[in-house]
Amino acid sequence: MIQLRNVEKFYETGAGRTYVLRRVNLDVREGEFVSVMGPSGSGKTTLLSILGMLDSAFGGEYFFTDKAVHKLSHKERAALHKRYIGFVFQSYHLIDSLTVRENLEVPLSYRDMKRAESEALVADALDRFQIVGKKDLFPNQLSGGQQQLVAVARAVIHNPKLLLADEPTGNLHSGQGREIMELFKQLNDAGTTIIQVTHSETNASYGNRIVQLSDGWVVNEEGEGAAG
Amino acid sequence: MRTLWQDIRFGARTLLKSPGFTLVAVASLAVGIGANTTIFSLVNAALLRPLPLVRDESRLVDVNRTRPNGDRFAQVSYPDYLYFRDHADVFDGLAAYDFTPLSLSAGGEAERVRGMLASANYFDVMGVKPARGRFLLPDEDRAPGGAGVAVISHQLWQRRFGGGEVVGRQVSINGHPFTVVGVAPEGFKSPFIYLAPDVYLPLTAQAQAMPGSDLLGDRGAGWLGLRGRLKDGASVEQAQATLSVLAGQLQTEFADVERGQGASVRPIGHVPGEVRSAVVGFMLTLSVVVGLVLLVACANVAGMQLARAFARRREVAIRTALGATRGRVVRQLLTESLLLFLVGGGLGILLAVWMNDLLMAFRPAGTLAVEFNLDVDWRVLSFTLAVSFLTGLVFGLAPALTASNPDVSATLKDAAPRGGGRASRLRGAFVVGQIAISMVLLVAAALCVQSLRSAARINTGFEAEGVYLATVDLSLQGYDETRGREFFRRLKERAAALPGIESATLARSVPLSGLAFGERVRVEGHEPPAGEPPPFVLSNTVDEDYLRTLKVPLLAGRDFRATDAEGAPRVAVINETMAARYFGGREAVGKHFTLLAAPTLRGVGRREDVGVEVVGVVADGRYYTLGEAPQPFMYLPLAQNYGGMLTLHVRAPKDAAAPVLAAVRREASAVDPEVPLTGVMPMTEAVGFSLIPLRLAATVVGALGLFGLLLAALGVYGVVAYTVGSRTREIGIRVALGAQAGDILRLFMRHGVVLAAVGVCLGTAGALALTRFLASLLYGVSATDPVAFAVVALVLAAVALVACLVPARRATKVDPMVALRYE
Repeated sequence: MIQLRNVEKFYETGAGRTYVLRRVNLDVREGEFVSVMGPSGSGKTTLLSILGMLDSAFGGEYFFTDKAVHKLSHKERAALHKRYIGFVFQSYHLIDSLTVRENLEVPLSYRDMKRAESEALVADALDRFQIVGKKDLFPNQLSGGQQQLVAVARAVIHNPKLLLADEPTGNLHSGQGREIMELFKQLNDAGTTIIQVTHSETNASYGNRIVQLSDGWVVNEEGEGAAG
Repeated sequence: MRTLWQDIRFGARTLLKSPGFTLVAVASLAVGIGANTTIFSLVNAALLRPLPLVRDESRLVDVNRTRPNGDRFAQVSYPDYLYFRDHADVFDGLAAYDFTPLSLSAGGEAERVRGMLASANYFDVMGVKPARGRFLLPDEDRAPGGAGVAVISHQLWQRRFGGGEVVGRQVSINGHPFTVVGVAPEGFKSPFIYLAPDVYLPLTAQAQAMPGSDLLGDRGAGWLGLRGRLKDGASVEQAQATLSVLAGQLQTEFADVERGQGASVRPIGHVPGEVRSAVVGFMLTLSVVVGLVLLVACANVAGMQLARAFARRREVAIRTALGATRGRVVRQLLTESLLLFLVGGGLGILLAVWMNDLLMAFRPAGTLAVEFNLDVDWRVLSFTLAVSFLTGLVFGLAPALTASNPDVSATLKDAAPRGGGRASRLRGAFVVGQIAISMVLLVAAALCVQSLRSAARINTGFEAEGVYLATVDLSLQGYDETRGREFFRRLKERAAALPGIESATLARSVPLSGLAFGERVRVEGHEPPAGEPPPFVLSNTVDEDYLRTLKVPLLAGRDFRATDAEGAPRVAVINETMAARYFGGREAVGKHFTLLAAPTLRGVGRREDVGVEVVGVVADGRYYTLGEAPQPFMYLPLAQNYGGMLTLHVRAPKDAAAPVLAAVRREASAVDPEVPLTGVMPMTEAVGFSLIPLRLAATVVGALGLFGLLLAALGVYGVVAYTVGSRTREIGIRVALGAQAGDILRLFMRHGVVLAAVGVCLGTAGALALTRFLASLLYGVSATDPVAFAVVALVLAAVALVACLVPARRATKVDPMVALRYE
């Protein structure tokens, strides 16, 4: 599903180039659950944003479902992103001024969907994630765990093939974190490919492969399907 | 006090740290406050400023006659004035005056000057001292003839006599010799602040000043304005009581002419009583218009301050956490607001000085000239200071109150909701208000412009282009009718013989120039209902060739010809409407009607009924205003209806104004160098007179409307830019969730478009309510003209869209990863 070949990312600074990612080669097959780990500043989040097509300023090659992402125009990349990818963030990033139900509608509103269909999907997500009772609340009326639950529901509501999660349990206490990871496991079992950035060994254990980053280099891969 | 100084210093520093915000805010306020200062300078000059040099103005009163018909501002006859002057013991002095144009020559070319007939005690009552020589003596104002003495103004002394020795000098006024005995002090005006005569003659020189009339002995002719100086301790009420008694005595003694006439005494006003309400109304309208502009500017600045206040909530939270009370925080923010408005006010004054000069350019020229002192005095300064202070306080309060009440712990944890709901709504409301007000101003301007355009298309019934004018008033020169006729005959002949002149003629008035004459007529079979006066028909007295020179289409019969002379049967040419109304159309030729005798004043007026025959019918035209409905009009031959003041009309090539007018001046001077010419101008300029108010309105309202539009655009831009800034994180989330550039653009455009739509709707309602006050100015366009409304709404919508588009496009450029890390 994903092939990265010699992907590099750097910033020009006064002292020359500062590399964030160095010659990253990575293959992710459909249905995998990959955890990216590494110390702070090792390039995990940057890697995730390149994979999520939110960052196009990188060197090297990126193939997604056999399409050469590095050659696509901004518009084509955005279309690909819209169709296949869902995002979950550490600090949830719900829109404060919208209710739970409206937050769930946001991704659907960008996908030419009939109103009835969109409403049905929202109702289904509310039901599936057991947040029907919270549908008219605003984010600041929910606990952190509930907010992240809504964020996950929002990320998968349009049934993406790839779910990218940046420290999804970073702001949650352990019980809430466990629930979210169980949810990820279920989604993965149902066929969603997941790539998560995490510091937690426990969270990483929900996946089937770990990619270790250090100073922008992939230093180790372990688990099923690891390259080396 | 120390904390206040701290507040001021901190406020100034904060403003200097945001030069962009400060510049835009100060500039908008300067224009808003400057426009108000300009109009206030006008109000100040016309209504509030004291008469320059006049001693103890509070003791001066105006005296008028009251008439049975309700007129409370009637003028006073000379015999009545003398009676009041000699019998009213409440006055230190009671002076009489009248303005009249004079022809002055003092070696060299004659010129028409602003004259005043004044009683000998006039200067004494006004309380001024001469700059040179002396004023009029009582003895010089006793016997008819005015003893041949004159006082001149300081301005005339400087301009005409170079400030040299003038006392004792002989001058010729209306052809009569006068000796200059004194010069009035510099800056002295008259009972009215904007009228300054050039020459003062004793009242008893009335016959020389107004040739052809003798008013001194006529108790029935009211022509004098009276101004009295109350004795110490005397009140206006006492003066009123005294004058009422004296008026009663006159009624008893001269029952035939004095019946029903009283007297009124009131404190002086700078504007003559009979037009005071119109002047005050005009000033009020102007004040409302500039007030609206100031409101737009204030709303704009308040909106910007709200945005800043929200952005500064962290600073306020820290201050609060460190122990600042809400009052203290509000004071700090208000101080900043006041600083901003006061600096804006200061620049506004400078702007007003410049705008006052521009305003003076609209002054009508010639003998109508008025003199306004629009200098900035303490009244204007106080006004501007008060306006700046009050607006700064009022419009600074909402932002200050909003910002001073943050959720401290949430703000410090950076967990407070973004977007500032209440502040946003308030800003939105300000922008809606700005758009609505701009809409009102722009609709008014659009209606004026459309009127000017339709005025240009109106068929006036004559062709002004290529016609050049020069007016001669022989009545001031001591010409009798025989000499006058000879003068005009020679002038017309010489003008007609000039190279390039197609035709030349004379007429008593120029259509659409603000002056029209008329007479009452009797037409057999068209008697008015009992108690109603006979119909009044506008008229012009014209020479042969008038119809040809002005290209007035002749529909039936003939033009005047040389045989329509003084002793010949009386004739008239009438227009279509008059022919249709009284004579069944073009068959009017050969029919008769009667010009009715009218009371004469100052030698003008028909002394007996005159029967005339209709010899021609011409097409209808516009005679007094461009917007008038077709109305009856008649032309009378000059040969049978002599007048001493006539305007020469010549037709020449269209672009020959300068040489033709110069040649006309030369020819007039060749006939008599002592006769001054006035109104020497192309006819297109003269007929533009009726459009002056419209042009003024279009210019003023248009400029202010455009300024309002600019501010409204800035307001929309500010609101949308601010929204984009405060929702950066949301943009990141939306992009991460699949939003594309178009989605983000629409999101923010919608916000601006809704504000613009609400503003336009409210503005439309406001304009519908207010533009009807313009209706009397408009030609050929209704005050609710849908085209003007639609065009302005579209322009406003387009400008608002562009103003939204700029920040909204910036929103689409937000890097989602940066936005999501931005906490």
